Amino acid sequence: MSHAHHRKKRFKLKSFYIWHRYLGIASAFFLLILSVTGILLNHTESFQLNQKMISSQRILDWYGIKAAEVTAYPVNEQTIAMLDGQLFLDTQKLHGHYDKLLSAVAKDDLRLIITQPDILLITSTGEIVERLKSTTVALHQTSRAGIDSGGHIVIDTPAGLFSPDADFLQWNRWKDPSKEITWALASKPDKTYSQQLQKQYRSNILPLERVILDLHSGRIFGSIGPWVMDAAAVLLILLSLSGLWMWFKRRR
Amino acid sequence: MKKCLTTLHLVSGYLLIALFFSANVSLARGTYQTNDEFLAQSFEQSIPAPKMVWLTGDRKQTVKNILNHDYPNLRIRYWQNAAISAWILDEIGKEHPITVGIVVKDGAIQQIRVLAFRESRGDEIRHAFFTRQFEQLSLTDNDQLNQKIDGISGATLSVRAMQRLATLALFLDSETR
Repeated sequence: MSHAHHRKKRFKLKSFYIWHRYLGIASAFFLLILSVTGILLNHTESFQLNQKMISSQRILDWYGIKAAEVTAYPVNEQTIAMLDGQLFLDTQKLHGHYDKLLSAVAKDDLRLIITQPDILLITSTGEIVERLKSTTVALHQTSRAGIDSGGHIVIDTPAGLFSPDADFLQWNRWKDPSKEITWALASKPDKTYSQQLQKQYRSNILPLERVILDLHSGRIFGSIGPWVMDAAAVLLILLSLSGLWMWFKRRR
Repeated sequence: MKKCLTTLHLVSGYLLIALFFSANVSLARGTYQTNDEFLAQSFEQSIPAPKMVWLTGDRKQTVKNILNHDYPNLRIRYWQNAAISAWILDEIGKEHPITVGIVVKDGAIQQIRVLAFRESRGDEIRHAFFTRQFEQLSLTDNDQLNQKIDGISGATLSVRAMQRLATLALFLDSETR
């Protein structure tokens, strides 16, 4: 083999090595993302990735997660609020999912919350005493609640006005026209409170697992993301092949 | 042409199967008896005034042991006369609460009925062939049902929810007598 041919071969190998190096640098970033996210996804349950929620407002904005308007009823010093089917006593989330918040009133240490489909009786600390049922009154058709001038709770149903007994076990027809009823009215919640509730609500929607999965597939970068990750995968294949090729060439 | 017809037959076959299953899923959900109807049927003469049992202290812990979780309310309403007690209880099968009405007489289940079923499948538990197994069951000293309940394949979670509620009703009845 001539000296010139040998030099040409060495030059070819060297330029291939340079290409290999650039391929390596170009794919390193994606390789890191793919391997780290891959390891994490392999151990989703151990790391509890599906239970950890994203609270970063930037990521939530990126995903287009928005919170609806807050409906609120002030009761004593507290606020009963609803946001996207979730019920809150101040900022404490109450158990269950509800369609609509219709009214809320307070009596001593208890709060009566009229929602669709349930009427809830809760304590001032947010424990649910009972989802009220009645065999005499169609409670689920209650449209509003109020307090009469005697301090008794009154509810408005298509069958008329009713008032509960002391234990909220039975409902009796309210017949006291001399007493004035003050119906609970929704109020525009304080802006800071609304924002706090919306932030809290948004921070409980997107699991970390979803973000890692989207990072792994590239979907987090939109519709072009999977193509970018595909390109990165092709780069990795080329990198492996060029590495193998050079290794064999050098051995010869 | 023949190929086209075969493909058409296959597609229509798949569509029919899909329709059958989607219909089954929607049929599973429903209210089979209202609370009032259940109570009226249980107490032939007149429905007694409701009573309540508070879930506090040891009782709360026993309820938690029976259900494997806390009952979401602080108190449970029930209806009772000298002979029987009636309970309307909710328990989640897989994702949604199943409402079950249970009548207890002399410490044993007299009747158990699924009043409302909200899961997408597993509603076979509402049929008499399944609910009959609970009749005359009582509690052991360990607060468990004294006989094994045969499961239904495809409705395992609903069956378990029903067993938990039957146990809970028997326990609460014993607490109120």
